[in-house]
Amino acid sequence: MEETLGEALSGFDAVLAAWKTALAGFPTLQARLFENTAEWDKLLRYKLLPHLEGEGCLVAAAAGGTNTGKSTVFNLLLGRDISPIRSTAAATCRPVVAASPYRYGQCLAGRLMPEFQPLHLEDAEMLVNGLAPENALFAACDESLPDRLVLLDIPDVDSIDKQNWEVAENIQASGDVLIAVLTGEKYKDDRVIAFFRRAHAAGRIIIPLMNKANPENDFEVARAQIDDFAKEIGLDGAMRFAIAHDFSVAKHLNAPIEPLDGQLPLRAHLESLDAAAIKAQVYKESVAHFVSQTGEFLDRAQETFSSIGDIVREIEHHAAACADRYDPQPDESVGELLHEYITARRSNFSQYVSALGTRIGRNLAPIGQYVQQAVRKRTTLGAEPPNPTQDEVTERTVKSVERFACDFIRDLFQTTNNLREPAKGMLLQALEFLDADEAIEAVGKCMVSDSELSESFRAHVEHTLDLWWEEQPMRRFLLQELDALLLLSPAAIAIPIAIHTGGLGAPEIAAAVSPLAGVFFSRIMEHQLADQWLDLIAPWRAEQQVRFRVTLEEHILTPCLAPLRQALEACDANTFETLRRHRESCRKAC
Amino acid sequence: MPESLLGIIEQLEQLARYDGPWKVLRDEAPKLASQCAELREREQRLDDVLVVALVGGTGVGKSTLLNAIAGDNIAETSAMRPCTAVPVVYHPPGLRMDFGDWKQVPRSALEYLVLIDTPDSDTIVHRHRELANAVLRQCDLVILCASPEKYLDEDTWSLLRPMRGERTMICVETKASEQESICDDWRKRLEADGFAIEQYFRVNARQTFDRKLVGGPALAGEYDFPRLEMFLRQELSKERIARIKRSNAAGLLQQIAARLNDHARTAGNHLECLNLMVHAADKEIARDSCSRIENRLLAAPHLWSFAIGREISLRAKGVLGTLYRLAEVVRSLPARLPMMLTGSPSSGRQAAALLTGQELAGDDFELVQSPIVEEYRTRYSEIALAFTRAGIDPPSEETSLEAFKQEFARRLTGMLQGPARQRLIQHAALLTSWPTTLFFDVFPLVFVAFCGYKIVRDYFTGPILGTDFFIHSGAVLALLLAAELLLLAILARWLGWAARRRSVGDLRAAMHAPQLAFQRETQTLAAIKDELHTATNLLDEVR
Repeated sequence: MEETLGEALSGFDAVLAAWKTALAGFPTLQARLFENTAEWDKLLRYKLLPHLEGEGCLVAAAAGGTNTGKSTVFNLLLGRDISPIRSTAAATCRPVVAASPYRYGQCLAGRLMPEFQPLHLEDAEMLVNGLAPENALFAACDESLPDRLVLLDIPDVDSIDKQNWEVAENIQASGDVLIAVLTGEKYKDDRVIAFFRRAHAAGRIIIPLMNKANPENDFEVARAQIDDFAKEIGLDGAMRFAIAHDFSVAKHLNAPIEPLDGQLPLRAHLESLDAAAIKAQVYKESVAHFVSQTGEFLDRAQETFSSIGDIVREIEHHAAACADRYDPQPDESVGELLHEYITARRSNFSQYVSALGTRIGRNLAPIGQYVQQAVRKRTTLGAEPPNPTQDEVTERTVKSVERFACDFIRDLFQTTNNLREPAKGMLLQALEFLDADEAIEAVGKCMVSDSELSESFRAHVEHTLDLWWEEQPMRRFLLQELDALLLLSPAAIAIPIAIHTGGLGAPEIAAAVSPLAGVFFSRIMEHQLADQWLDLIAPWRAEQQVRFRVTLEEHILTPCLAPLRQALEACDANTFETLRRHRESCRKAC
Repeated sequence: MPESLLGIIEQLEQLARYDGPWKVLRDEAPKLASQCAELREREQRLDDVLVVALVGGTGVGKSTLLNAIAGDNIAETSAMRPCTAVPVVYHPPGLRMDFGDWKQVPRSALEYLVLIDTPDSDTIVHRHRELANAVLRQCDLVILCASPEKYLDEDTWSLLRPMRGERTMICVETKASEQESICDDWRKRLEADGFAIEQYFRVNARQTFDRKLVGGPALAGEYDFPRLEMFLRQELSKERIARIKRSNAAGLLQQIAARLNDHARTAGNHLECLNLMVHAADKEIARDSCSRIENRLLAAPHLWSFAIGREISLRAKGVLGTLYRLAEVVRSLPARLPMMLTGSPSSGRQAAALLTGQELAGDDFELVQSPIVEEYRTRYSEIALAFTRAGIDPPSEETSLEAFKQEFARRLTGMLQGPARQRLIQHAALLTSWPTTLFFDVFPLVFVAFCGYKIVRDYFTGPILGTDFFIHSGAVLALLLAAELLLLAILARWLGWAARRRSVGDLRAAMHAPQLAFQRETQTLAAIKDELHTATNLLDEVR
């Protein structure tokens, strides 16, 4: 179903408004995105939406640089002194509209130019003192004006008072005809030209008028200057008007503004224009301009968002790389798994003997340890560090995890500093708000909170060892032999001793050697498996890395990337699609 | 002023060459460098002619004003815009200055002045704006020309804004007429925007130019023109020119200084925090290292007995001394065997080697134990993050850690080879001194002598002594020697342990001296502090 132009425009406006609200939290992004969009935005809000049901009233405004005599021209057109004339620049700072009584009533009721706040002009000073609200539009009633024409005097477009430009641009957007008030000094100023070029491109009808002109040789210079101006903004076949340089012009307000091309004076010319046709034409061209401008905007916005998306992905990639670098050290639980396996593979007899040895050895273990330590102390000349307790091991893991997290945050900072705006600003802000210490601590805690080995890893170890066990029958046999020898040798020593001493010392020997056999056996196995060790624990490492990544994501990435992700969410592909669809409808409608 | 200005410029140039870890200054450096170049140029031209630029929007009559001042048609004027495409330089004859391809008119009667008519600041020909900017950069004095229509044009103002305070400015209202003057409004607006205006002239250049072409005295319609001419001809004396130039340079300096000051203030706060942090981490590492060495490396009595035993064996004299040396060889066997067998000794054996005065190859040095390295790495990460947050590049982990390892090894080695070893030697010397040797040797010798006397006496007087006498006296001698040996060993061990207790004090002192850890970081901070100091000093000097 085809949308009507009105639906398309208001649809576009609604989506855009929603979008702006969604992005309200990100001023830098918003500024970046909506840079240079003021023109069509104004067109949309001041012209396209409010003038949809045009009443056939032509809006003509006197526009131009500061102190070129816009107010003078306005007063001359009306033949009355309405807008105050000052010798200083940038005097008029609020627009004033002169309208017939009927239009005047409409205007005050807010129906003529609905986007402005209509105020009755009580005191001409209000136009120049800048106290009125910024979107004020002063209205004056003029009985000589026909219903189909209203005249406006607007602020300048080039002085240092930038809010004047704003007002002028708003009026430009909502008007139909612009009387370009030029002078010999200003007809080719950058800002003036740019203003009229934009207006012309947006479909406004422009009537150049050379003020303070030299009347010599039938305004020869003025003609040349106006032609120059017209060429510059791409205007052809326009009616030209001129006012001779005369300081007393403001005192003879009844004098008509004479044309250079020998036709009607300006006021009559304005009145003779076919309001309805011009309005329709201006409206059509405005829509066309709007469509072309928004196309550019949509492309740019989409590009901005895709670059933000790229950045988010890049940072996620960084996190993944950081997690890949994370190299967890298997703690006792992994080693124990190996022992469990090996113990399970022993013959029943060996298991029984070893269990017996272990049981006896457990009581005598301190003696063995003492002897071992005494020898070692004398050899190494240093105190042996005690075996780390589980808490210490955990603490070490936490520290190494925290170090990784810390380095990751640093990496984030460095990456951010190399980014372009607006993502840079958004990320930096998020990073400033991130409590790094807390986040790092949280990551550390998370990583040790649950260090149980997963079932899949257990299965993997079991499988690998099984394979090895099956594939190496020779080694398996040797190992089992060795195991048996180690288990039985204490008994072999202990029995003769027991015969001679009547049992004295035999259990000690058995106790000291038997538990060692198990350790020896495990060591041999580990050594045999050394080349496969990395493969063996690879899944465990991968699991840990994934866990680390998830933790990083949860505690660091999420808060940091929140603004970027929110911005991306606020503007998904759907938004663009809708905007493009509305735009397409607009294009078709015009 | 010139000398001090030169000094300041040199310091600034040094700052501009900065390529260190402080990111803010590094980012600032290119801008600073260009400003330094400008300052240097200004400084060189301090005694030169005054370069005056006529600046203003298109059509305000800059060229007409120049023509009026010259009294001749030297700059092109026209009703069509824009007119002046190339700057026109009007200067006294014989002046040597490089103005590139700008149009030069060497006919000026104004001895100390170079007047430049600039292209328009506000036309659609954007090259003109660039040219105007180029002229502005060259000039010392700006004559800002404007008409009632153009005096508030944003284009011209935006061109001048960056030069606020760096150029002396004079306003000339070029199209004075019977209309009310814009003087008050213009000056008020300029002041509100931070411009300082030296002089204000209201002229009608066209009128003057026309009159000058015809000749004759000044007319009433020329307004302030005679005053402007007077100002250019007489008031701009050499001293005044120099003053203007100096004040321009000072303006630029002020601007630089203000910017540097901003950076310095924020960086100052960061530095303070970082310094505290690094200092705390340094202390922490020192404490940790110290306790680890104390409780691990230096905690075993065997290390000290081994070391003092070796010293005693080197010096031992007499009977008991010889016996002690023999016993020592056996006793130190477990410690010496692996030392001979394996290449890389444990830290305990390294310490023993140091204590006994052997040299170690630097590469094998592994006195720093891995838990300390781990701890260091953790701290480093925190510090590096803080550095990065403050906009300072931290030194890399490897260099930082390497520096720490070296410093750590240096201190530990110094302690072990220095005071600890000395103390051991002293104690060993005590045990091997003559009186001690004599004390230990006298009992066995006396006993042997007594036995000898008994053997000789009995040989002559009575029956010859039986075998059991020899067995018994041999046993007694052996027991005596064993007891003395034991006593000596206990004494040696006790003295070794005593040396250890005192050495731990030395160790604490050595390790707790500042800058054990994070030397590189401290150096980085100190270097930045120096830069900051330079910047702040500059600021004071500029003031």
